Amino acid sequence: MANNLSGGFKAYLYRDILIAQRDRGDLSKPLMFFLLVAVMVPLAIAPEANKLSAIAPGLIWILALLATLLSIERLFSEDYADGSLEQLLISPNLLMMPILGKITAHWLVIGLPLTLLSPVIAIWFSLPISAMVPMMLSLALGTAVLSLIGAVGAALTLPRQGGVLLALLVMPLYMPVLIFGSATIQAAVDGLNWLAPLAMLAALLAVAIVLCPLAISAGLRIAKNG
Amino acid sequence: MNFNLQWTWFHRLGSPRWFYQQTQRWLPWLAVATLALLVTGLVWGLAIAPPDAKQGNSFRIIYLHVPASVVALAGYYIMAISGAVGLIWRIKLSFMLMRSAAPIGAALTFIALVTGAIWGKPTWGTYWVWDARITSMLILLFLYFGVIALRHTYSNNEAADKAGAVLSLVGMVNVPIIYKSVDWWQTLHQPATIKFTGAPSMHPDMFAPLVVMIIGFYSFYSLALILFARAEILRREYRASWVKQLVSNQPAEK
Amino acid sequence: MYFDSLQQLIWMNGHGIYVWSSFAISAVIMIGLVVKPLRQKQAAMRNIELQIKLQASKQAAKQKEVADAPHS
Repeated sequence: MANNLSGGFKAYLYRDILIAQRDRGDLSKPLMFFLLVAVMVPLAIAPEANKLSAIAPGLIWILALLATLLSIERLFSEDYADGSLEQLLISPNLLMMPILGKITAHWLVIGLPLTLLSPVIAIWFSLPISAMVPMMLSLALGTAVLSLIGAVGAALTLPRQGGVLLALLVMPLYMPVLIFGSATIQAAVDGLNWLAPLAMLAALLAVAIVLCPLAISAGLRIAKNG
Repeated sequence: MNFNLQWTWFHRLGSPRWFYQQTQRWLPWLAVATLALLVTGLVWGLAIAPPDAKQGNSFRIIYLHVPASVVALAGYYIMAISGAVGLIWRIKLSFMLMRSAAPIGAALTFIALVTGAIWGKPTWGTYWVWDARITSMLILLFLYFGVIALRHTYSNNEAADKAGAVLSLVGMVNVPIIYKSVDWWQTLHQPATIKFTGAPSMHPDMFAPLVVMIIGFYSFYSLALILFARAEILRREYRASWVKQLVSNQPAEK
Repeated sequence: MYFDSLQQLIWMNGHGIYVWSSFAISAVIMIGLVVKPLRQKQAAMRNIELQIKLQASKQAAKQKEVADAPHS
């Protein structure tokens, strides 16, 4: 019986990671984007260390946000196209579990590597070492929230995909995450208490884990029936 | 017997036909009341009330800006709650109201933003200030745009309604979160808070016309909502016999 | 009346353009919010009228067919 509760979670987690692994290209594209745009910024703005470090906290976060947006659309689209979405919806498990499994897989494949890559960008932007750990913590927690909220948008736009609508729907919802995420890094740079905004991120994550699957399952059912 | 009556009442409330026929009667009165309130409030606020000591006459924009913001925000909740009622009780009329609420709310948010920007120029020298309220209003505008854009994703009305309701509800949960986080963000960066004349500190001579305008804007919102909903009802219920009868008795002008 | 003359009302000590442009934009949008649904309703009614006429003519054509068909 315990199997039924968490069974869906593990099954879909492994499945999605396996699928992602098979198509390495898809996996690396958002991360490449993340790095590429980061390179463009000094070229477009200024190579001076003080200017870059001033905008670094927010910029790193915006890049993480864009990279997540690029990749989240694909979360349900292939399943929708080949009929496995029906399987997901009629599974005996709590619908929340397969959904969380897929989103966790997405985070492991996009958000986590992004977090691990971020020190590279931090060095490019002359972010002080003291801010590294807070930055990575904020990205680790924040990208999870971004994946969760992004999945809501992905589920609601299933019938007609084409990135921009998803971005439009999801961006306003992303703003609090962006605010607290970049504030964590900025607080660390300024030597202030960075645990406070980080705690807010953790709170957002807790709320998102509970509420997003509800909206996602509603959206998936509408897409299937409509 | 009693249960039957209650059910009929509830059922009737959700019938588009009942809504259409009832509003037919009250609409002219609502329009008159709206006009009266708005004209009274505007004349009072623009011509009669004294100007602000610091801001001078440009402060009169408050009589447009604040009511628009208040009703724009309330309108989002109205939209989300209509969506929820439609989802939970499967009431079509509720979905129609939700659909109607979206463009009205977006337009009012736009008015709030533009009047706020225009007010900013003489008061702080710049058309835009990233203060908490205006930034939250801007995000609200995008939330509205999202709901409006989403309906075109679905080819059938039923699915579009449900998806719109889900999105509105997600947005509704987010509105206080967004507001709080933007507020917190702004205090981080701008310790000198820019405050519009707060309600309690306003002189009653200036506050009274504001109240009239807020009520007037709510009245206007109801008017516009009913008008949009009536058009939506006709569009969707074109196959119903009562609609056909209505049109035959009352052929469209022009 | 706070202002002494119509000119003062419009000028508002130099702030007139701000106040009146806000008023104008708001008025245009709000009038639009009333006009648009009224026009939509008109269009819907016209469409329905057309549909009724179409159905009526189809009915008439069918009846004519039945009437014209050779009786056995």
